[in-house]
Amino acid sequence: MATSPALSALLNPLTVEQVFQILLAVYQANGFPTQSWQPGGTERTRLKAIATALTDVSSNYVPGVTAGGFTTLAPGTGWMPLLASELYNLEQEPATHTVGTINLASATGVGPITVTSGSLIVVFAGTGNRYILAEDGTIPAGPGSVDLSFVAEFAGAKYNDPSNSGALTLVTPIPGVTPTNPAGTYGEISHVGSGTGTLTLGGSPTIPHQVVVRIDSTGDSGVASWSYSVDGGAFVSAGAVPSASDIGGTGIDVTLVDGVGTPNSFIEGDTYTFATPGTWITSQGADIESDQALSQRCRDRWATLAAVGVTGLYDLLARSTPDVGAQVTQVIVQPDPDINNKLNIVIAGPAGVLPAGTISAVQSYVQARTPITVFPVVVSPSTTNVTLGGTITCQAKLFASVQLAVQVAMTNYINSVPINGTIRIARIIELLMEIEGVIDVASVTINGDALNLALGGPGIFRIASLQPLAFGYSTQ
Amino acid sequence: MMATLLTNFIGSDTFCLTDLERVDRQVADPRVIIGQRIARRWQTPRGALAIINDDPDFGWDITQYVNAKITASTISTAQQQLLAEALKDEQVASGTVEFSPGPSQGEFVVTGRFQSAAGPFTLTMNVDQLTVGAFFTFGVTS
Repeated sequence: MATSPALSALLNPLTVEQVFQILLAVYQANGFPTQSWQPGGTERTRLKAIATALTDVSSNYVPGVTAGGFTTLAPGTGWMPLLASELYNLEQEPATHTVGTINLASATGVGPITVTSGSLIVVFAGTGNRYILAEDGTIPAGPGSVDLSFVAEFAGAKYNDPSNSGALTLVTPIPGVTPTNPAGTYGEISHVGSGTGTLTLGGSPTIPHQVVVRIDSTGDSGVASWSYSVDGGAFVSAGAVPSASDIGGTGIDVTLVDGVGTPNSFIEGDTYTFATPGTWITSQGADIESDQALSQRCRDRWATLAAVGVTGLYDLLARSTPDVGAQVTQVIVQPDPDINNKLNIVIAGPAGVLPAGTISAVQSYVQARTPITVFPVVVSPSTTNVTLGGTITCQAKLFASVQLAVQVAMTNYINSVPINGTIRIARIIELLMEIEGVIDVASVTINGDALNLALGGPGIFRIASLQPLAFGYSTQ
Repeated sequence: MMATLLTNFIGSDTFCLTDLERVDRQVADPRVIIGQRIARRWQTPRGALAIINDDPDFGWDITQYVNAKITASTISTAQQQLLAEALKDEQVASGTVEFSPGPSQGEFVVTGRFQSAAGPFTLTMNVDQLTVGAFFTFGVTS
């Protein structure tokens, strides 16, 4: 009885020479004088051609088809999406568009100007990325301004321009109208629940934070009791006060403001999530889900069969939240060391910290699908500001393009460092030296030190936030 | 130019001078086998066999001389190149190559006289713009 080929044999095709030798052996066994066949001989040439064709087919198709049946081998073969869909009922998350708020300021004597969705395109000079107006609005009479939502021209993670990007221009200029993408002190407040009340934020926070305000009892401002959690920490009760200053020592002031639902503007169980500093981005763009990420979600599927929730279940839920798509690219699931039954689910996107709305969406999705004995808390990691410095020597004629390329390269590198990863001096130098026009790189520092920077630690989750570059340039 | 004969075992092969025949025909005459190998060497561009992972140094295409400017120097060089190619065959001991213009413009005749492990033979190839013809004469090559 013929034996089945080993998996290794299917994954590693024979070479042309090996196939040729097999064919020669068959001919020789049947009496042909194969040892006399020289280059140029008719039968030798024919067998070489057959061996080449066989190897081409076997090496191009057999390993791929074989690997396509295994979640650990399928990534990169082109079979991963089909394997996920057919065997695990998981669809590859599509790429998402970046959505953000751009401020359009009108000078004196300009406006009002009515604009409609799609009528304006803003281009970011640093990256060349273009964003299209996504809603109708009116630019007020100047001096004035309006915040309008813009969506990236194409989907993908490259459309994650930083706040305060500087040179923004309208593709079709409107005289007297200037676009900018400032980041406020606070990002948008994401509300999960049915209450009509809102929060007003104030104060002067000095470092980045994430805050969740939870309503503990129903009522209007000053009647409803509430708690707050800073950076994924335990909830601290604020009582039934209408406002609190410097919560948790963060410099953040919170005021509850009644809505139309009075006298029950705030409903028990509602949450309000926000972060500081803010960002112009309200929904982060992401590339199509990678094969590796999809492979992980497939393996996580097995966790959904367990009677007790395990890490893989929460990883899967966080990555599979509807309408979030491929925004979630990193997930760390860890039981809280201090609070029984609390499960910290730390998530991040291709550009680092995710918008509050995305955090809330994942929180709601996960919470609805976990046992009542588990208390999941979805948070973004805290951010560590990273300032890169050093001296870059470049060609004088390419100075302008080098500066732009340095910004793009460093932004991409910092975004690629995972939660609690390490930012490396050697990697920074390597990336800078790959830029056309760069001649030398010296004295590279991270936050002023010529040392690698390790983010976070046990139980502390941190991700890097790139600050304005501090490189000096010399030209030749 | 002499070459060391590496083996006297010629074996057999399928008949093929300028193309495969509709029905394969086995060749047993060792002089024909060697001669056809030389003929195929003279019709294969250098490196063509590398595509099928065979000898990348095989071949010197005789048709490259069609429509080329033929001078005394060209003829001398072509004769040396064609002889060197033929002597690559393990079973060719020595030989001479004569390159001469044909009766019409663009035609030429190449005559190779070889001493092989199977005895002497002459290979004559008539080349014009469209065709390559070849035939053998066996016996003394002088």
